[in-house]
Amino acid sequence: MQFVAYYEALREPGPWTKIFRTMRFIAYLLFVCCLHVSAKSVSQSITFTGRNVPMKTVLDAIEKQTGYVCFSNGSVLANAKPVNVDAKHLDLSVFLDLVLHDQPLEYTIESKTIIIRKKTPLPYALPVMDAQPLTIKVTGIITDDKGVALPGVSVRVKNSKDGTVTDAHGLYSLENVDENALLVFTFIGYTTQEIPVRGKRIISISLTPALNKLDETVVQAYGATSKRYNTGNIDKVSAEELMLQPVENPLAALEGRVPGMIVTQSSGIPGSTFKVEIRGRMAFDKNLSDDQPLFIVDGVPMAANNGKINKLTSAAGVLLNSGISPFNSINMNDIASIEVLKDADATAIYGSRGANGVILITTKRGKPGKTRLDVGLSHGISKVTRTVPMMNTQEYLQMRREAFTNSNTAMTNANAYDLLAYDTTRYTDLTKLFIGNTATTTDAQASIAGGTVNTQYILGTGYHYQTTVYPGDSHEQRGSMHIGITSRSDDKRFNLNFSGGYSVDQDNIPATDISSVMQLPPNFQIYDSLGNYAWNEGGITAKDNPLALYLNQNYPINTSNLQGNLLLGYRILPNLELRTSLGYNSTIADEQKKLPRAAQNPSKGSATGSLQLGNNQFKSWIVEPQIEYNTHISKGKLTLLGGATFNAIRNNSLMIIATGYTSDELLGSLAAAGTNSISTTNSNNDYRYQAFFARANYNYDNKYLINFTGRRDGSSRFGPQYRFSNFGSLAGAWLFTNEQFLSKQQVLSYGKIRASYGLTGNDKIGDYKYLDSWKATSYNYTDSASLYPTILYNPNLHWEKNIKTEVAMELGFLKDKLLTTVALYRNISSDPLVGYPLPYATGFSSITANLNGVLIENRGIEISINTTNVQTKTFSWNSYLNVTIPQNRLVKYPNLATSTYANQYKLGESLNLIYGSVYTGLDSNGLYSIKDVNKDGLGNASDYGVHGKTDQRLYGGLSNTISYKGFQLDFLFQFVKQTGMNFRSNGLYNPPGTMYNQPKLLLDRWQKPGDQSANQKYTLSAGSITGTSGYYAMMFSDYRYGDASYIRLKNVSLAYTIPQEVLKRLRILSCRVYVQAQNLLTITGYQGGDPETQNYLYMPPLRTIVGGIQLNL
Amino acid sequence: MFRRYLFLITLTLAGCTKFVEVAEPIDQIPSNVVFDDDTKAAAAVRGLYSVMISALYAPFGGSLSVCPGLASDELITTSTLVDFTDFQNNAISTSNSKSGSSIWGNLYTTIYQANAVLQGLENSPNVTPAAKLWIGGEAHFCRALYYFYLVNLYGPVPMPLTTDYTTNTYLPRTSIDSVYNLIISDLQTAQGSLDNNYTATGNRVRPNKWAATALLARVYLYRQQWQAAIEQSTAVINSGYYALEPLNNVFLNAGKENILQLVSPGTNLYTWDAYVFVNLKAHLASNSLLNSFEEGDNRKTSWLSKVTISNATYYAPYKYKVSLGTGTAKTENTTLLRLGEQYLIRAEAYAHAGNIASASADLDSIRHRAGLPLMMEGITQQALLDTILHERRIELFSELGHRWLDVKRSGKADAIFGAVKSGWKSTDILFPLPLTDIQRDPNLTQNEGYN
Repeated sequence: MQFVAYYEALREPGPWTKIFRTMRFIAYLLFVCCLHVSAKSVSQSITFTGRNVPMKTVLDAIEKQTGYVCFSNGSVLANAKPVNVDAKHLDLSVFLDLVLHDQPLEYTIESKTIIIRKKTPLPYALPVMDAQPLTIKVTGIITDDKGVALPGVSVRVKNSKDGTVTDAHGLYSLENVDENALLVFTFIGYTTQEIPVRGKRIISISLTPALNKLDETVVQAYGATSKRYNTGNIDKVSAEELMLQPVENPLAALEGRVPGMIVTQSSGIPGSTFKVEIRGRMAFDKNLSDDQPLFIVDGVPMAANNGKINKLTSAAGVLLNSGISPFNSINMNDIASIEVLKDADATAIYGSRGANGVILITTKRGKPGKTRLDVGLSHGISKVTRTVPMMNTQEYLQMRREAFTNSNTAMTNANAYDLLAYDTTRYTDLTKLFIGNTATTTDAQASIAGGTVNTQYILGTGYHYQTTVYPGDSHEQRGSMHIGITSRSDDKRFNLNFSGGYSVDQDNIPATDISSVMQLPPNFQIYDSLGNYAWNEGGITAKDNPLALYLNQNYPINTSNLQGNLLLGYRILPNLELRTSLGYNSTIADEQKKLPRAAQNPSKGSATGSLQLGNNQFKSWIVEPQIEYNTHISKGKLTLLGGATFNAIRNNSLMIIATGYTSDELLGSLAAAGTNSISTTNSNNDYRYQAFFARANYNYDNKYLINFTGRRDGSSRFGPQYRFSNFGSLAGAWLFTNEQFLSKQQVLSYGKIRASYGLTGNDKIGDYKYLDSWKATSYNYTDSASLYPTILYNPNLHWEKNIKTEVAMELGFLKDKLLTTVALYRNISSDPLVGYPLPYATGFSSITANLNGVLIENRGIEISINTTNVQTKTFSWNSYLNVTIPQNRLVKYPNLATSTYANQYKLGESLNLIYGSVYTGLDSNGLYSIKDVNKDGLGNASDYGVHGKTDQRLYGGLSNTISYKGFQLDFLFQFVKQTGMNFRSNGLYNPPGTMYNQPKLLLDRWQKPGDQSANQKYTLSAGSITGTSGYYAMMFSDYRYGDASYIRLKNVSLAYTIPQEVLKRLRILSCRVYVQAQNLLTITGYQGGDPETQNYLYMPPLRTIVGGIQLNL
Repeated sequence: MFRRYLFLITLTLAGCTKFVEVAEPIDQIPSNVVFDDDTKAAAAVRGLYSVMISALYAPFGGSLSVCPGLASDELITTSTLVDFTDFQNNAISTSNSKSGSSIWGNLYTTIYQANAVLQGLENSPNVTPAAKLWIGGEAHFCRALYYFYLVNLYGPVPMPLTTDYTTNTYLPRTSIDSVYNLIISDLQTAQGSLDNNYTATGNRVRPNKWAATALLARVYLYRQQWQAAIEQSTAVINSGYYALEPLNNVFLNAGKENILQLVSPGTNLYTWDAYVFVNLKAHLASNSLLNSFEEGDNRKTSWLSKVTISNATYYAPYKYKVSLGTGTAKTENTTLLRLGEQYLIRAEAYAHAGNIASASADLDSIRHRAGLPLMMEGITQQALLDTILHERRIELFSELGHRWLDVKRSGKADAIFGAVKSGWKSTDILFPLPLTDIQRDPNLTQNEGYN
């Protein structure tokens, strides 16, 4: 099945044509790269141990083990000192570096020949050997487990002030070391090692990458750190965790995994956006200020960030800011890790863009070693999760008849055609017909990776195909490729890191949203007796045939995403490196929406077809020169980083609407539309951002850590006098378990207290808001262009500032089998940017402005617990729990009562307020009634109060990994405690009884005096908008809110790794088969639909089950 | 290497503030540039007409014909949208989108635009005096037109005369007299600034001096300044530019009855009014209107069309015949001012002034065209006035709310509407101000009857 789809996709000129073009280019690049590798590589390794061995013996051993020939002038070797060496599988060049290091010799390798000659003077002085009896000089080369030299490793003499770092060759030397001292080797991402000196003058070791949570590499701004030595709050989601989930959008895989972060799916439609909120709502005005975090992929800001990329509306773009997600075109298989940066320490270096948190996405890199081919295939099915059962015809008609009786209204053909003109015996389950189908997902991935000590590469490609739960053949497919090259020069001074990716995504979804279908009378005629679309049953022309609309009106959107980053580094001095990061990202969305005549009601006399075209391009380039300097001061290591950012983002868009097509066949052609029946809109937004930043990090004896970051940056989004501002943070940490007084106990294996404080900003208000500008109207007046003023301008727009404070305690017990982090945070936003509502007399309904003096606070507690419950050779069980308890508060708003927000927000309360009247039950007439607080007989703002908030009160996730022999079971429960809008909110303006179908929940209604019911009687009237009873009165009350808490079995994955013995015969390195499921089970008391989307008129999230195989050749 | 980096760093520091200066967006022009020559300033004033008819249910995109029509006794709606049923039931919610944003909101948006044009001209050193005169004249005309509808539909309204939102946010209502004073002075300025001829070739789609005069005649009539109304309407009637056309030609853009029309956007769409009445069949003639036609009135057959909905027969306004064309030149535009109304204005003013004969003669011009018998001699003043009100109802039905405004200013709203509309209250004669504006402007009060 999946192969059919795969090959069909190959044939049609879809994403694959472009992919192949890109592939060709990349293949060429790879070829060139491999040539380079084979010419320069000396992937020979040496194993040699000996004390006081003459140099000649060592060289003989090299010849024997490698087949290389050593040439040297005899007198040169005569000056060589005997060597002490202990090397295992060391790379030849590393080995030579090691044995010749302390000698007056140097070497070159030319095609299998090693030439040893007298040393020419080095650019920097080498330390001279000291002959003091008690203290010695220790030197050595530090490598990783693959034999690659590690620069920047901290080497310290335990319990003394002495220490150094390794240079570009991984080389270190320490003088005056006590013969009985203990050396401590520390490097981020590797397990710390302590080696006793015991008189050895050369101590060369290889460090092994840390596999534990505390020491694994964590990506941070412009560098890397580890959980142990980090002063800030960064949460990492690894590729392993991401790949457990059968989802297309990487943001979807983050749900429930990171404390302090809420990811919400706006709709279950394939390709639709996910909202990400880190540490609570900071946007005072949700319509204007975007409180999405900053997204950075391999150092390049996503050009479209997490905004929608479509221009036209479709089923995916029903809600405000919802639409097609730019993350759709990122292949999750290419991601190595996603880091979420939350506190001031982690985010302040992003200055004005860091206020809402930062998410760093890092793509995969090759590893040195044999070339590996990874192939993965999976296939699965999806269905909608929770839908709301709607009334059937019988129930619906009963509702309608009761409504006419209750409203004392006569039925006429105009107001009751569903009862009088339609066939009342017909029933169509519209929910089932329109979203009840089964979608399929097919995914194929292949990657090849490998390389030598100096150059590694990865080349990956992926294809994804999925259909929808809608009728018809709407589907989405994506082809992508990714390339990563890491290389450095033989002298290890120059290094290069390239990553690039290209993907093409074709999404074809219905143009209309399902709400228009769900609310149709269930006896609405879809097909006539001949099986054609039915129109105007009983001569009623009021409605369109939804199926004709769905199947004939499609909305294909093609998205392409190009991503590239080149990081060039040059080490001028052993501890001074210059780097430049160059990046480019472009996202292009091409849309088309056709409304043919066939989709429209033919009785609408002059129905003509229309065509809408949209093209939206986001381009971002960035240049970031940086300089980094390492040194040791006293017992500590100081790292200084300085740099600058130049970033330009441009968004160009073009939208064309052509109308008046009389023939559906010509609907694709703009020329076929009448002249002047075409209206076009184009726009061009330029965003420029520039900054200078610095970071100073000081680690004293691995006990006390201080980190300072500062940034001065400027954004083009503000008026000329407000463009630049300063941001910064200060953080400290105390690793108290490294103190002497705790060294004896066994219980506490790790303990750290950290705190950070800093200032970040937000400039996400859109471009040009400070300009007083006019635009051309979309149509000419008569035959000449005309202009109109577009916005009220505000030259005084300035930064929204965000002050972040965090205090956290991290503890590890029983050899880190239990790791906990408890973080308390408090973020205060000031001068929020809003679209300040204005009365119409000003000409506009709002103006972009800072609310000066207004403070919004987000505070909360985040707890995460990692446990290793069982760890034996065959069985292991790990758990991870994260819980967040947030609180959002409007702290200060001068003169709130007289502001235009007086009826929207309250001091001391959350911004997500439930503000309205109090529902008091049904009145004697069976109508909803509310409390008339001031007893004036009216229900209006004077009766309103605060009745809770829609914030998440508590949320988090619990994941478990259980493995037994070759089996591994993973599952993740996501939980949210919250209040949300219930089903009563969704049918706004359509009281039960009017010609809209309703959920079965409304069958429980008032029928006669004395009835105790949750819902009012069926009526035709919504009542008065200022009344104290009736449907409208309820819509302004707290009754439309309810508990929307839920526990969801978000993800289950069961995998089996086939034993090596079986595979050996098949020449397969490893093979894993798995079954994965998403959104398998939801436990909730929520009334109506899905508690996450909270609207039964939108597509609920999908439940997906996928099976797959992963091969490693 | 080092030196190269040093150079780069020096360069970046120097380019520090320059980098974040972005070019102006390609699709927008700063206001000072708009008014730096005659061509763009002319485009700015054309924007006024584009915006007032830009969309379905913009003020002249159907709202002013439909909403007051539903509120009065001339239209009924087939729509179930509360936006329309509210008007029909005279129970308009303070959050009604048609009353709140389509009419009130859009009129103020265009007033801002007119003020911005006037301000831009005033501050511009480059626009030529001749262009300043006619562009300013058109902007004054437009502003008067918008305030005319605002003051009649909503009573005393805030009266912004600048674009400064810091003061406009807090404006209280201005008395009806002051608003009318501004309307009259704006129209007089327009009369003095505009040419006798139409600026655009061919069609009468931009105001000239006579358009300003015709609106001024209406304003004087509403202000009961009979003599002034007679003078202004006479000036239009005698200008030599206009003539009454046969019924089926009245709304054609080539007709000589036109004083001012607006062109809808694009070439497909003829008029929004036809789109609403003929294409959507969203609103129909009420029985009350149908029954009030005199026997033999040709307007009943020429200006109404039969509509069958669910096997029942209704009549829809059919003054504009074509809603969507095929891309060839349009034949109909939306009429704002026409000669027929000027005769009725003069007739009414004559009647009030006691000149029964002249009033009858003017009325007969209209009746004659409709195929009706001429007025009998010796009619009393009151009977004549009643006839004129009736004649206005028939002649001007479904045109920009004439019926609603006529009954309102005659003081007979309670008697006339109260008789046919259940639940009629005297306070219904004014539409409500949008709730959001009451909340946003602390100095603004709501109309009576809407709390």
